[in-house]
Amino acid sequence: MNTAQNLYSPYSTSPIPDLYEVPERIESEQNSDSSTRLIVNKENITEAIQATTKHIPKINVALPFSKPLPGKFQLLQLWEGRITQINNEDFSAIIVDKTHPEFNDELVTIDIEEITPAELSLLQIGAVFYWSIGYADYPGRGRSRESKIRFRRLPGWTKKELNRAIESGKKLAAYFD
Amino acid sequence: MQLTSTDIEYCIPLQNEFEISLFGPGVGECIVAHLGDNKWIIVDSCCKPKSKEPIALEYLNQIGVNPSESVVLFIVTHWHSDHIRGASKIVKECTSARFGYPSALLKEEFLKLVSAYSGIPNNRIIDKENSGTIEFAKIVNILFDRCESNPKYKINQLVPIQSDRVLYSSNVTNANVSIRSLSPSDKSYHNSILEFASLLPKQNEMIKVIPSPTKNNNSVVLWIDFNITQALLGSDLEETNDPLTGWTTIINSPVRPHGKASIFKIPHHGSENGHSHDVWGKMVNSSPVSILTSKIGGQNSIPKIPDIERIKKYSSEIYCTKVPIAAKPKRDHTVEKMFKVIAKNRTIIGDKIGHIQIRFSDMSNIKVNYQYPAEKL
Amino acid sequence: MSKYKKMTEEASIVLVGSFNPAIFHPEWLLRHDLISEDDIDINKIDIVHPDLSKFYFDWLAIEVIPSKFTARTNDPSKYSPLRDLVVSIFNILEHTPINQLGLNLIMNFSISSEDDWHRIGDTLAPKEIWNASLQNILSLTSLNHRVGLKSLSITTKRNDDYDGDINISIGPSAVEKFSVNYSVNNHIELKKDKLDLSSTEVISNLWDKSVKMAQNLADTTLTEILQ
Repeated sequence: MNTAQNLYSPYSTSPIPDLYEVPERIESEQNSDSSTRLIVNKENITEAIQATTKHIPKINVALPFSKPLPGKFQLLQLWEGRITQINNEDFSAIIVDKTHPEFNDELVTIDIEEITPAELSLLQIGAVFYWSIGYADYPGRGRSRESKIRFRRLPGWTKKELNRAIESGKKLAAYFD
Repeated sequence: MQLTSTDIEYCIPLQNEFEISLFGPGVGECIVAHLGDNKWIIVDSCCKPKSKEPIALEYLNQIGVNPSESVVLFIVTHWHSDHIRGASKIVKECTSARFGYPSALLKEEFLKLVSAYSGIPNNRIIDKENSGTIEFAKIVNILFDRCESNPKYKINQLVPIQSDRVLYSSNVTNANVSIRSLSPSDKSYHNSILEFASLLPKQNEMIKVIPSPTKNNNSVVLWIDFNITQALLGSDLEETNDPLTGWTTIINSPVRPHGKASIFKIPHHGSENGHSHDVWGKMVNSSPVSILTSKIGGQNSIPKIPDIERIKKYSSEIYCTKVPIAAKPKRDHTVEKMFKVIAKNRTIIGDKIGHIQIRFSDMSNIKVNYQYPAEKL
Repeated sequence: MSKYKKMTEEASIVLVGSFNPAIFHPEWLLRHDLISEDDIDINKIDIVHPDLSKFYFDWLAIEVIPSKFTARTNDPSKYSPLRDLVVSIFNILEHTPINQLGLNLIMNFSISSEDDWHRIGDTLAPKEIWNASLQNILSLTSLNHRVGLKSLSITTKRNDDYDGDINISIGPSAVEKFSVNYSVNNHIELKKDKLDLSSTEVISNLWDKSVKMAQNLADTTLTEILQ
């Protein structure tokens, strides 16, 4: 199976009819689809047809092909930060430059207003965030200069992870005792 | 006592010449000391900002010392990231050195914490703040492998440290050199075990960077007798006003050394909570050379001006590795403009590494060399 | 001045295994706190169905069929959130059988001149052999019928502890007249290596390196040809 991303093919003048040129290949390709070729080829197409015609024939307009995502964000600068202090109106964080790893870390104070209300619950000491600055070009919005702070989201500590840490700690301690 | 200041000497000290070199990049601390006869000790570790290599190894190599043969003891005074960065490389490279650590660090409570936060085997947040646990995990792995391949390694090379232990002793050309630990006390040991247990995350708790510990009770303070010259290396130990922890318990200890140190590595970057008047009065002579590293971090940076003024009153000379203002990085114009709009305050952390080098054969000829950004205050 | 300039970049994580597309719904992600409410405000759900799930956020597209899961973003500031999201999803769905994974980067470069643009195609696929063959077969008498490179794929075995290969594809891009598409597929076969790591562990270990590798590959190839 191909793990490359199935791209909408920019070279085809008529991408949708293209999909129906190869139905006879479905049977022969289904079980031998082990290539990891990158190019958009008929393997992807057979898979598309398999998904669309075999299981859900009524929605064959919703092909599992990747449309280009709308708009783009031209990244100029990215930091990863960690919160060190939270005050009434602002917070302090140490930021690590991901765009220029050779630069030193910086300690910054940022207004809490910069954080989107939906993420305020994540504002805790020790929380990790990404801060990016760049140009956003999105359809209908034109170009804008954007500074975005987004908190890192991970599911909480699991019982399994904690048990693993506890077991590993116990074993090592017994070893060094 | 004669004090002179010159550039750092990049040559091996004479056989009977002692050295204490203190390194500090702004956040981080490392001490390299010559015990005579080309025997060296390393205390804590920090890395050179550019090369990310442990400064201790780089310095020893630079002056022509082979760390794998000549380092006899490597001590991690506590596990905080500013004292432990690069320590695993030192353990790996200094194959003849014994490894000293506060004894709580190889106990179950800390090893569980290390396992949770270190990537053994699957780490979910990796960043510099929890690099203390990641670095320690690397050390644990190296020690484990060495114990596996050499059953005597544990007994011969691992040195769990609590207060009042002799960690090193030698006699070179009629000069007695010894190193003693003055902390952590028994109560500090138990406090840190409790703290480690409380830091272990709970199920479903949000994954964050490991919380920064607020106390430094478990740090190893060292007393070194360089023949007739004494040095007190204060690590990050704080004054707690508890007779059983911190500096008070050292002062009150009936078995503490009764000499007075001529060289004092000021504890905890000169902060007020590391200060003990009794230490200056009872353990340090009246005109010591005081050396310290800084911890740069905006409004919380230490030492503060009153700290420096206070230390000056007790010292004949004071030297600091601190980097008060680092060079501003040059970024894209648009980025800088946006940065200024969003960030109200900014402090650049770490830049060049400051180096204070003290060389002496006895108290009468202590020579202090230093290299920018280290300065005499 | 550089003879090429990156115009767009899109990163994706593709997993091959056995999935239940109906699970993959923005509400499910929100319930597990894996996305922000801000994301969902502007989400666009094409379909969530037992055999196919497709939805988009401002920065993310997720497409799932029973045999394949794809998550992608064209916002380079979201590469880490993309990794976190996929890792988190499959840490929660830890029993999902996953056999292969691809860490992909697709870049489009604008080339400074038509000559340089042709130089890329001519260097990667010299045309003499094609001109000769086509002249014979199609009885072409002149070279007005230009022969061009449409796509070239290169594959190489990995040299790390993982099993799999690195696949590179380069060809003209439709984004702009003289532009080039450069795609890198970092393909890993799971459970065939000695490491026996889960897909989420492999993604955590390799994602940052993989993005950097792909960017370096593109830079090296284009610099090599155009210098």
